[in-house]
Amino acid sequence: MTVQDSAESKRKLRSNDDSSRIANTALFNFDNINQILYRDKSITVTTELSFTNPYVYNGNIDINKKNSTTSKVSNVQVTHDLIPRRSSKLNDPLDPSIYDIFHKKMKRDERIMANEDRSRILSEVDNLQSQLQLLHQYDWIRYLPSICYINNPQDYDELEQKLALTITELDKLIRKHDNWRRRNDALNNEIKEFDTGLRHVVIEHDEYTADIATLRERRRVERRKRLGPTIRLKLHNGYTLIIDPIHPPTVL
Amino acid sequence: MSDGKSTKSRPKGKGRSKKEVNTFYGLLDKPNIRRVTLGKYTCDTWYGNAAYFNSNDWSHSMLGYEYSNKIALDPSVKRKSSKSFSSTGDTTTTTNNNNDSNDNETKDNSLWIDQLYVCEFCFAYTMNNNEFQKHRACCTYRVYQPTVGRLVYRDDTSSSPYIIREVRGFQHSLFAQNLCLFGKLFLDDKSVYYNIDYFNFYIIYGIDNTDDAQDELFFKPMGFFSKELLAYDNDNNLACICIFPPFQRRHLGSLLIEFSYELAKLTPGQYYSGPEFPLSPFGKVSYLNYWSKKLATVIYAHLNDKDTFTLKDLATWTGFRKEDILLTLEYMKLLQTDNHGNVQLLLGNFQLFCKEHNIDPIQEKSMIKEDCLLI
Repeated sequence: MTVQDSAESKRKLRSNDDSSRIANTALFNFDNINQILYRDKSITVTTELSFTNPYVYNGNIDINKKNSTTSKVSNVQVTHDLIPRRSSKLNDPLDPSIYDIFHKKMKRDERIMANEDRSRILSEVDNLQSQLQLLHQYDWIRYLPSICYINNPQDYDELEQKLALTITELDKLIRKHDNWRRRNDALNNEIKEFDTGLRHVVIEHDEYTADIATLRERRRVERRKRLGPTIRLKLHNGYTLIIDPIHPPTVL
Repeated sequence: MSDGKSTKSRPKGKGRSKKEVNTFYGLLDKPNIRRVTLGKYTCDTWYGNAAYFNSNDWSHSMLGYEYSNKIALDPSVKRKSSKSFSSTGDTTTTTNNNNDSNDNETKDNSLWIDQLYVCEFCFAYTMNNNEFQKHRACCTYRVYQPTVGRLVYRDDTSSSPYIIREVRGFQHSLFAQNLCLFGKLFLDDKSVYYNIDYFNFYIIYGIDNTDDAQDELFFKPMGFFSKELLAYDNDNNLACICIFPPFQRRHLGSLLIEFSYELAKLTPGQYYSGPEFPLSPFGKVSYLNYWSKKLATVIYAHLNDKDTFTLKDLATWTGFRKEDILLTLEYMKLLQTDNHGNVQLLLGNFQLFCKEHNIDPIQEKSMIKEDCLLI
């Protein structure tokens, strides 16, 4: 089981309401990590043609088999009804207001479902934070086996190595959650501003008449305003750190 | 072909079975709406969609909005419709008065209504053909060039011009909700239809060249993909994708997939990105085809004179996630494990794969025109 798989399986198990299934399988396991996927192990290139000993990752990816799911028939037919002429006197029988009551009710119900999921995720994050705290204590050795799979509890080297790996993994998961929370707050603010009229939909009247180059430049300026500029940090050791709002940071 | 995938209101692949995910709306093994009319096209639906209906209306004799509106006017309707529920607990076959069916197949108990009418421009829906035709005449979305949302792709250089517009769920709620409801008829796994504030929708519009001269030639929605802005895995660049049946076989699915990656390149946190997992059967077919063609070009360009490489190298050259790359390399049968457990990429297998799949790795064929991107 890979680190990612184990982390995800932990979340999966904790998401399950059946508490009897929360057991020893909810442990980080660093023993069977996929090296080429998570440790960037090199893959050699050869010119051979061979189908012996194929590398198996997923194991179920034959897409050539025809099955009912990918061979759906639509039986599309065309009708040539004349659409009635537009008339200002014509009332729209499908005015948006007819959907109001039902759609509002359904949105409320779906929101409740989404909030339940959020609560579960928050509870899992709380767990992760508690585990991290325990591992930073002086008696971490008591708690590590309940968080990470240990082959030999008497092997102090293994314990230290897996302590470091577990702390790194917990940090990564918690940072992932923090990132999600920041995005959540930013989007909720945007929605709130829109609902209260502080922010409006921008209408571009020339979007079909202006040339593409003009529109692309406009988009570039909007993006820079939204995400911020690229920062070049010249360090005193001769290196320059480039921090781009979109791309990973690079060092020159 | 509809490249089906799932949207979610909660993390997927987290120990939830399909039955659990669909519990809220009920698990439908078969279509519950026999045929749907989209503008001038009528076709069979592929999958059921219980979200069009109110769960309190066990007879399913009317659409959810009709039921809710009737309840609001006359609460006693709720008690009457509850009484029509059969004692066995099975839903009864309903052939609504507005849906005359000449087909004996409506005796199938899985069908709730025979025909649904959906506006091809705004996706407003009804069971009443008269209402549908009147609406078509006065739909405010029925304009030559669409104005909903924001223009993000404009290709007016070719004989088949396409437009992609970005519609934010919280800014155009009803439009997005109706789009999701309609899309579900051709998607096997989808769970969010109404709480769409945290989704963006990218709709591709094209000219329907089968339109008669009598009809005005309008840009019509032909498909879409959705993107969840608050996905816990920030590297998801697509939640679900659907090309409507009348407009399939035009490679619009590939175009939208390519667009989703171009969009991800300019989205923080999506330097390496990919679709939300798990993939539907259609999604798997579409994405493996797309990934393998792109990887073929990259392998030819970069690996012919190299001794070693890493998955991260391929991810940097393509923008794909390492997991997606590994899945594709496995599908292409390019990887082999030696006696020491080391992994090798076989260029001989690569050449054979390209030959069998008619892929020319020298020339990368792209559906998207980068000069038309407005993101």
